[in-house]
Amino acid sequence: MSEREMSHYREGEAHKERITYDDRWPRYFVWASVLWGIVGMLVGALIATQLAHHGANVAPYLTYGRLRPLHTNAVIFAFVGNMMFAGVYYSTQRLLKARMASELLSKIHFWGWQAIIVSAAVSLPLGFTQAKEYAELEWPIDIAVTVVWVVFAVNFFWTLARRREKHLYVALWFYIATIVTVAMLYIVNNLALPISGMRSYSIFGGVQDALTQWWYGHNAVAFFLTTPILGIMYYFLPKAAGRPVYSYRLSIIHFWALVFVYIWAGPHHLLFTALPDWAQTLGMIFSLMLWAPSWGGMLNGLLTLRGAWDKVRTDPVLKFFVAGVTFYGMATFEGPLLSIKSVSGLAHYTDWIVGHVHEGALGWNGFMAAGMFYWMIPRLYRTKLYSRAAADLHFWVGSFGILLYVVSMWVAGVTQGLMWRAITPQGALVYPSFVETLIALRPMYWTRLVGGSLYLGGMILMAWNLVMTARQGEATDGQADVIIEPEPVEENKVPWTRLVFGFPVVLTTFVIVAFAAAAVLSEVASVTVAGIAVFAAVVGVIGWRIARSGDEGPSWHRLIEGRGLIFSALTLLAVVAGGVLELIPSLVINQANARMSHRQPYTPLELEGRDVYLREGCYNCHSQMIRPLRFETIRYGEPSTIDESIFDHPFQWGSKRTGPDLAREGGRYPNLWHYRHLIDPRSTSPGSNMPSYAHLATSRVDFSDTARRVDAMRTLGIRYPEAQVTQAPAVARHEAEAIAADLAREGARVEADTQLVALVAYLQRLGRSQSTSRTSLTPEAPTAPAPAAR
Amino acid sequence: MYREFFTRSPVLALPMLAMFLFLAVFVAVVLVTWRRPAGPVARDAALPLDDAEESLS
Repeated sequence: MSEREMSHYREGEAHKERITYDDRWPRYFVWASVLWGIVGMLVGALIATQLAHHGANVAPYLTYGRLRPLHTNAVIFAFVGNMMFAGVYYSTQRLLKARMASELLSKIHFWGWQAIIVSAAVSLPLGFTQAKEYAELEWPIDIAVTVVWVVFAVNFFWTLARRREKHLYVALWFYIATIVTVAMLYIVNNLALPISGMRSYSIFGGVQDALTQWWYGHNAVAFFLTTPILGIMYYFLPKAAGRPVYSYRLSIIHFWALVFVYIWAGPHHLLFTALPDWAQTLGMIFSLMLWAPSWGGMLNGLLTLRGAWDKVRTDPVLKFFVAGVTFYGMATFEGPLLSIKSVSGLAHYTDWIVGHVHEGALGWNGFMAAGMFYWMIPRLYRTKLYSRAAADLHFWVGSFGILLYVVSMWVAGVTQGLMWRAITPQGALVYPSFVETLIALRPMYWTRLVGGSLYLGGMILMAWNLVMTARQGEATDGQADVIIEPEPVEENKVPWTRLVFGFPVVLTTFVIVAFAAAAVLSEVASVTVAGIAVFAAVVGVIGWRIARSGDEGPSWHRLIEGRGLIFSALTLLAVVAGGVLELIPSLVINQANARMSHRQPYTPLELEGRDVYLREGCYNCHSQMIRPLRFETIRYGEPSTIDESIFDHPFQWGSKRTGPDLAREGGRYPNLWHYRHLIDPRSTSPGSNMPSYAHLATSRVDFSDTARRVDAMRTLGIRYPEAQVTQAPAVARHEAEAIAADLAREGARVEADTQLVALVAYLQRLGRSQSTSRTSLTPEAPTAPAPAAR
Repeated sequence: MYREFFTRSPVLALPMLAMFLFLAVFVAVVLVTWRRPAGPVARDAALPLDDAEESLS
């Protein structure tokens, strides 16, 4: 420390101390990430093959609908999760100049997380699923995730409390945001009513569930796949470049603007759906606003290399980081673009979204992980990287793989989107057969498989290189002589009230209250305007405070950067505000709709069939949401309405159409068509890539369990009279016998108590306000006449 | 043309205005921040480099 810096301190003396970091767990997390990354991508390659050729669905437990959730969960929570923990454990200790607070908690965290991954890998192919994207894990695993996350949080914040460096570096802010926000998102979205050891129903239904799910789903991208990796970028990129971050002040703006804005953007996944318009507009506008902080962060990362670009030519670590941050910029440009309603009209439900997601996952997450691993492993084993040439080869193979993957999906997405909407001058669909639009994509699906396989090859090459590096070195915990500095007197004496009730907090609170008042008193547009004014004010005030830092002593933000608890509390408030203001109106609206609806709840057999639909992961390929777009209504029927899905716990609007929308599938075809289609999809739809579900014709429904399902729905607020709960098994059996008899008349022999019959019952109900079965249950209260089914 | 556009989508005008307000504030703050000398935050920015571990890359 220079004399000039020392003069800043009036009390205490700086002294040197040797710290030994606990690097065992970062090492373990790296190896776990590499292993699960390869497994997850291997499953990805398998499901890509299944999409290109249906024959790759080799067994009932290994169909696309069951494996796709395994792939997404593996790469998100196992690959990126373990990578994130490795980076957090490694960098936190060094930034705080403190060893992790508890080795026991680190151990529980590591092994607990791996146990969760294994349980997911077993339970998802077995069909235990909540049927919500990226939130498929059933309730006992959710509880385990929550417990392990709390262990991680305690370990992190305990270390924060024991730190020897007063100032919290920007990377730590992003870690704090990750820990508090993921906890909130995960718990709220997974609130469910268990009906058995591995089965539950979401407590939210219909539009409530849709909004909650995409509030979670979008922010899982934001706070699991983005903020921790940004923290990692802010620590490891300067380390690798050997120079500080380009603009520390810009990172403050980046952090707060990103955290504030991201949480609101979830509804862009639901554009043109039955979600209220005001929520769609809010989601679209906040998504567009995300351009600013995202690109601020990207430029801050890239400009850190100012004057050191020559290193990128020779250093594989920097190659991966630069490409990773560039992919972040591309993905965060494309994301808001796709959130514009007119673009979404073309891209939603197509492979364009798949391409966008993989741009972020392979380019941003995967390359940042590779750069970090190539940087960490030599240091964790006190040696040099085994082969720079292999790392370079990994970079080029991976880059080419991403290119093939993303471009093929862009082409597939735009092609399919345009084919869906092509209309003749007479107003008819140019491509009325859905399968026709799918067949056109097949070359792109094979290209995607090649691209993904190349990327996987790069991962395997990295694994080999890292193992060889570790073998030539020796696992060693890092040590550092750090200078422990006394706290600046003026910062130490600032009372917490001055920080918590600081000008930025008070102003923000005032504007948020005004925003809430506007929402209650006024119409949609003013709510949106007020909401954005909140963020303009927040960014303005924080920016102003930052700008004046150093003029009159430490700024308000400089002070909270040294107060971990206050910083965490303010971060939580920032994300809670967005969540509460966005979710509560929809929760209220849906309840009102449920009370007014004339629709009849699902019959017991339809409920059983719906469970089969959920278990098989049909939502991965079929939506149940017809958008109010002409080409959709011509193909599928009237646009879906908000009350059509009020009995759906969970909702099944879907996000991808590898197959056609099913919202009005009921009555479109006879029972025999569904039977034949499920046994052999190619028999009714030549060219289809849907797996065969012939095994459902021999799998039985346990009707003794049906009453419990109806009772669970009743507990969730659906109007089943209590007496009808006990009748449910008999009613379900009677319904099934009617369908089996109908099939028998057409020459198809199938037992009544099979899952295939139940699934047919459910499919025949879709889009109808009440069951066509004469033995269906009647609702508790008299209802208005139902409109004619399509 | 713009009148026709906003007449057909009345709810679009105010959110668009609000978004541009946000972007304008954001850009203004970034510019003000950028122009400030880095001196007072130089030590904070250098924290990742502030350890004595050997470099191996």
